[in-house]
Amino acid sequence: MKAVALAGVGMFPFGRHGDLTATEMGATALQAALSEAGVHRGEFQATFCATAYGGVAAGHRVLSSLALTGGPIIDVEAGCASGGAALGLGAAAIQSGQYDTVLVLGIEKMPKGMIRSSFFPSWMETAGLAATPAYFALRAQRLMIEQGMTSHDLADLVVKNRATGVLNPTAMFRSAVTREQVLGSKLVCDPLHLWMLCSPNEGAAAVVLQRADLAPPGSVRLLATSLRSHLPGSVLDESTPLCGLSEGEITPPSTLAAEDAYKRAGLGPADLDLVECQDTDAARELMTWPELGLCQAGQQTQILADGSFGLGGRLPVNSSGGLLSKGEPLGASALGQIVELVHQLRGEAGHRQVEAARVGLAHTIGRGANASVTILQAESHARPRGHKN
Amino acid sequence: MASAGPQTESMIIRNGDGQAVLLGGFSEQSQHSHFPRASVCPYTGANDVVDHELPSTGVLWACTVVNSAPPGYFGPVPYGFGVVQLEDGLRIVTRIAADDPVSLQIGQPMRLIIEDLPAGADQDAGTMQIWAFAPASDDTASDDTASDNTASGAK
Repeated sequence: MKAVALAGVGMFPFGRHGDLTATEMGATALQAALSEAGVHRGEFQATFCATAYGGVAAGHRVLSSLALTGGPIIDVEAGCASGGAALGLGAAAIQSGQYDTVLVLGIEKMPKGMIRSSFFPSWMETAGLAATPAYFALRAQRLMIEQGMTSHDLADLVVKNRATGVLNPTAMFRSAVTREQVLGSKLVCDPLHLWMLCSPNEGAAAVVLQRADLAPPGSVRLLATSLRSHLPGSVLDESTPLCGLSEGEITPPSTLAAEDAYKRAGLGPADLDLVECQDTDAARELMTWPELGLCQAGQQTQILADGSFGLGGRLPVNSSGGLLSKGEPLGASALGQIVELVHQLRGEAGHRQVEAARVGLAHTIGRGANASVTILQAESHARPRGHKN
Repeated sequence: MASAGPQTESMIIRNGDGQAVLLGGFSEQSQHSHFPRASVCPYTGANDVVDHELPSTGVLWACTVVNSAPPGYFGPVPYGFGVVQLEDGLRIVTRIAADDPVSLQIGQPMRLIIEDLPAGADQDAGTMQIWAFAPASDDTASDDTASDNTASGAK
């Protein structure tokens, strides 16, 4: 199996961009990644384009605009994990020796307002059973009951992520918030307040994957990427069923993906220096920490209190500021996490640099259910310039 | 035209006593019920699913309130939304019919009711029937089966 490197990355910052199309944003991100990788027309063999709302031939429109068509271009939809799925397809093609250089692109221009997902049949919408934030709220409530948390913990999670968002020039929200401000923001669906929910928005991210021996010196290595779906039976899982069982422990898809990725990478949670973790809403990140093996269930309150998972803590989670700071353009968000990890592992993260960052994990979970976990490592000869925070 | 009608009509049926109950499925092989009634067991893939009336009572397992109308919804807001764990252990996603859903206690007894919701934006769009659960109050202890309720959503 060939080793895979990330030869170049590029991004279009996440936000609301007026009349700019997803195609235009994607082209900007892709050009940046290609330039960084030193890859030109004719020097890559396939493209995987992640998008949930981009429509037919989304990847083709981006590549056409740059005169880069001719090879296989495949759109990939896997909910919030679309980028992770696309990355997995690209990596597998290189590992198997099928291709040497592959483009992975994520683009999205989310509709405004409450997401109207084609996942729900129209009768469920009419019945009031398709309000996405309401499902998030029920999960938050069960998390609080089962793992002993309160709305203060939900608010403190937002405080943590918004604090590092201040340091991320590509984040949509770059102002710190207090617990009181979060709890004072409009109640959307109890217990979730507005500021505990990320904003769907627009953006793009791109990665040039390359066989490691061909990639520029210092390129970050892809150790593993895993995609998993849900095992049936959990009433509030991201497959959004109408029923579930009350007996039996059902392993969540994030854990299935993480266990596979750790195994393939030959390491465990203790080896990680930083994590990018799905924070669609505050509860979603808090419930993920034990699912990824970062802590035991119930330890989240203490971790928030002592800052262990903040910038400067023992394991910064969401040094990018998370979706709570960046917003979430579905197809682009997983790759946005990868871009953050690459900058961190190359020592280029400026004021939010995690000291001595060598191994990073990116996690997404979303409708499907789809969970992806990707583990990256700094190139062995590169010495990241750690900044003391 | 109540396009949402037929799907929910097959989920809510009349039992032998003429009471409205929810129609689920049961698989002998998997030893679990599910809702709505599927052709294949959604937990195991077993092909031995038969019709199964779900219990009409249970306890509240999770509850929130939807405060603004989601896309494609024409009913009143706010409305309660949550999960009820039925007597047989099955958890189902449901509207919650209560004056102040957030004040309900997790674990409190709930009973099935049927609500009518507008099926579209226009007056002539008709209505659709949908299941909901309401607090089971002490003075209706003898009435533990669903009755039709034309109230639409939380009062």
